[in-house]
Amino acid sequence: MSTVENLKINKSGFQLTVDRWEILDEGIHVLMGASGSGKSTILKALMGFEQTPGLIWKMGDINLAALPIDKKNLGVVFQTWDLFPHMTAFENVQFAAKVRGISADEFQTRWSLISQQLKMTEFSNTISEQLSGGEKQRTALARAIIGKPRFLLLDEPFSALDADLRSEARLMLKEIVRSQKIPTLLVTHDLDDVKYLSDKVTQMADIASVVRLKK
Amino acid sequence: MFNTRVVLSVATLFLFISPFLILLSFFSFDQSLDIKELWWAVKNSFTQSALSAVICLFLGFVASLGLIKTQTKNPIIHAILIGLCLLPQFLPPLVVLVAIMNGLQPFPMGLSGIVIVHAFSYFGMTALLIENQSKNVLTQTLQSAQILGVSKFRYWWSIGLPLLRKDLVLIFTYLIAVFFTSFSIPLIVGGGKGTTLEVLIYEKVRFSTDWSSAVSLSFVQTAIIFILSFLALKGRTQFAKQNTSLQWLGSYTGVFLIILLMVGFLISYSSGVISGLQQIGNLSLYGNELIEAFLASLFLAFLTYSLFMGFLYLFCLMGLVYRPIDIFMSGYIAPSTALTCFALLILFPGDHLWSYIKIPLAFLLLGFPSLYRLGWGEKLKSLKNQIRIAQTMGAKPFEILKSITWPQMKSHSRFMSGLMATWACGDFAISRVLSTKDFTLGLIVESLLTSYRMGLASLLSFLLIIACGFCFSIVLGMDYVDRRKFKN
Amino acid sequence: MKHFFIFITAVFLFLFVAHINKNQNFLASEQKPTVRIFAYSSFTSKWGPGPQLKNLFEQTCECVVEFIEGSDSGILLQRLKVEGQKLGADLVIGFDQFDLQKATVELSWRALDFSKIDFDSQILLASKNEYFVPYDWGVLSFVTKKSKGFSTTLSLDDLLKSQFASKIALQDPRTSSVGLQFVMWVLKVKGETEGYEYLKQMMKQAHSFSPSWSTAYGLFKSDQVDMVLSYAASPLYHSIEEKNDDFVSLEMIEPQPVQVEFVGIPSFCKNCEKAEEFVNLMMSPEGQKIIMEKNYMLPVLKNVKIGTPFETIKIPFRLLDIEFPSLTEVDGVLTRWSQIRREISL
Repeated sequence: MSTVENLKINKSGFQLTVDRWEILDEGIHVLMGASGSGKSTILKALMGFEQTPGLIWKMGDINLAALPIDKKNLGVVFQTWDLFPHMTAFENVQFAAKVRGISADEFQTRWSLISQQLKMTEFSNTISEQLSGGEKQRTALARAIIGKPRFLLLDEPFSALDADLRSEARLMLKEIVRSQKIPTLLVTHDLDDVKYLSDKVTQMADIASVVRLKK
Repeated sequence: MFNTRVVLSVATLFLFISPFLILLSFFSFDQSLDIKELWWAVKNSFTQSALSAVICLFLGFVASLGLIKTQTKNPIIHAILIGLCLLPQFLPPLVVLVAIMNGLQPFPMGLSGIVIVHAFSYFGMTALLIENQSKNVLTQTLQSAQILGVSKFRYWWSIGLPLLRKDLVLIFTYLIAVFFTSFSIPLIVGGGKGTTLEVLIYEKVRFSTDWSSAVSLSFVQTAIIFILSFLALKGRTQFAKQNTSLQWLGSYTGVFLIILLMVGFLISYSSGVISGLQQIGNLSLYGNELIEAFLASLFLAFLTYSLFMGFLYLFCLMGLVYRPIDIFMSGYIAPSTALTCFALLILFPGDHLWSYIKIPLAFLLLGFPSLYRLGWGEKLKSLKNQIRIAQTMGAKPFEILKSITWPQMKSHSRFMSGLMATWACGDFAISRVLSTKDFTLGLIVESLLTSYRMGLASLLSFLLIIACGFCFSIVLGMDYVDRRKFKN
Repeated sequence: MKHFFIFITAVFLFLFVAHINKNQNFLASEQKPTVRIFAYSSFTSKWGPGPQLKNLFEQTCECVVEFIEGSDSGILLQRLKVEGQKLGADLVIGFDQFDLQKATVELSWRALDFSKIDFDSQILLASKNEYFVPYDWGVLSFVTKKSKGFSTTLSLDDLLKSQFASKIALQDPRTSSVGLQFVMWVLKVKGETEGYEYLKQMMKQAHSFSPSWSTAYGLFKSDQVDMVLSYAASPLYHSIEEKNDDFVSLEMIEPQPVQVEFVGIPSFCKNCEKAEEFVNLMMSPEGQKIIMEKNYMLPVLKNVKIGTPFETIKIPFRLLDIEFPSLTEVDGVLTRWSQIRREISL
């Protein structure tokens, strides 16, 4: 288990506090809550994009919260995927590997494995701006895991997909996370995500207290 | 990344408030500022800007009906009309001034003259803004209204205008802010009566060397403009994404208005150029100086382009824009054209070769905040998530800049820098303050204009258009080459 | 990106080489001293006497003359104060008698000896000072066209009549010496109280108050106005250059003002001897002729205009005496004028 302690976020409009929370360090841990409950805020705090003095995120001997963003070695997929639109699908993934310092040989090996698992070979040379929703989602996932991240953080990655594509995407995610053995935190409000993916579920209300500030 | 952002943010802030700092370090606030004089100048500024804005908005609204009419039915005509509408924005201000003064004989100096020039210069852009907002706001109600059998006039009166009211008010406020800070137009066609605040600041420095008053007045002006701009940009419009037809709402009257005004403009300008051709012998007095001035204008444009591209590149290095910097850039207005120029005049040596540094720098200080607000800032901020993802991957700031930010900002930056370079090429207002003699084409045209040698002024302004067009076409050419390379 | 840089560098180099190339003379002339002359725009313009005097001087002086423009004489002194020492001003051309006191108080000047110059008797009074040499003079008058049908003899009060509403181009006294001449003229002939009242009415009546004489005259020439405050010699320009005899200067009922223009050398000059040589050129018969024929002002030396069309210029019978008001007086007048201005909004 990895442990999150003393997470306090003060934003205009609300204060969010998580005293202590244990996250699975293998498999898929789902954090569930209604829209606007602060799930994405917690995720951004773990990434390092929110001001959270005193936060501890212990994974083994390492306090990930104390590391700078680029040293945490996290894989991230946002709801809007945010591919680099001027690059092809392949170049998106290659860029992630390059900045992570993965050697060319190792990249080739990992790329052939991941692209097969995610069925990316057909569109890997297409400019990402021109990809369909499902293809973008798979490219974002490949980009997030190519660098062998310590943790994979997913912020409602299927919400922009059609229902039939979602099932296929869930399946792919489950397989690849299991085969790559990457601990994953998935934030969602969709019950089907919980049903088909979760190894453990946490409700926002169970771990976080949110105080809405009066205007 | 944090340190780079901090350093660049502080440096940017410092750069843009430097005119204030320079002037404050040399001069103190005038404790005994003449309130009556200030009130008089503010009143004049508001009078000319409000009247200009009203007429501009009216003309812009009528013109927008023409754009709406041709939106989907005649896309080619629509594109031509848009080009005509934006023509006064792209042409050097001198050209617009020369054409209008040529066309209206006798030209009404004073309030009328200022309003005419302002309204003509901005009605086209106003029309585009209104057309765009109509697309955003009116499409949902249009079909229901048509089915109910509402007439066009009734629709506009009862539905369209009320729905657009907020946007029209914002456009109106924006126009007032623009006209309030207008400097060269009131200076040239004001007729020496009814001084505006911007001209008063110029007079304080130029005529009475009362720097303390000038600095104080400038702060007052900045505060007024900040409030106006902040209000105007609060409800910033976004460009319509849907491709819906409002054609039924449009009117050919708008088309005729645009054509009438622009054809009148072109005829007036051409007659000036033809008259100038008849006096072309007089240009021999300038001799080689014309060629030198032409080259100097191009050189100035090139330096301005390079400075802008360099600055935009560095700004992109910041990656995620700090919210305070975003607010600052969105609301910041340079102290005033006259005062910014005078700050640079004090800072740098007076030799005319230094003009090649002072003038591009003046354009940067005065122009970048406007560019930021006109969409460049929004485009950069839209890359926020991509930059965040790259950060989590472990990419360094320069890597992010080179591989992610700049490839997506390059084209837009090039266009904006090219626009600035074109304006620098045709500039006379800033050059007039910062240089010592007629060393650019713009300055020569202005000299001719102010001594009412309209024919020669028109002819040389045509040369100016060629110079500006040359600058801009190089920029477009580079962009085209880049895109082709990218496609391949 | 590489190609972009190559292309941009090529364009840059081309412009730079062209710029340097056209400055071959400039670079060569860097070895020669540069005499910097502050003057007003109509003196330095292509149509003024400046370029011809410059060419003539450069033929013998082993130097380069550079003009620095101060749009009109009214702000010459301002520009000189702010930039003169930094730029290195060697000579200032274009002060009139109202500027001298201010110039003497605010800056220091090189004493000049012009006792040997044979001045015209009409401006002898103007030559009685240590630092500033008069180089031309003119009688101020309103210039109009005969075809407009106005009477050629008018009073100042006539100009307030409705037939002249928005038809007269005047100059801003803060920036234009001609403008200041007008204000002082009105105050002299009408007295202070009545004079300021008159100016208030003229503020509404006039078409515009241009920053310089050339702008106001430009308005008149392009028929934006029917009448302009200029010099009695102005119609001669149209007669000679344009072969147009329609222009006429009015004879006013009141005595008309005389403007004398001066040249001086600031004490912070860098090329002071060259500057004196330039003054000598201006005061020579040849220089005086150039100034007369280009500026369309009267020469200060005797006999220069003999045998020229300038002999035909009708000097009005009654002229105001040439006076040298103090700095306080001039500032007071301008302050009061600024207050009157504020009563007129856009």
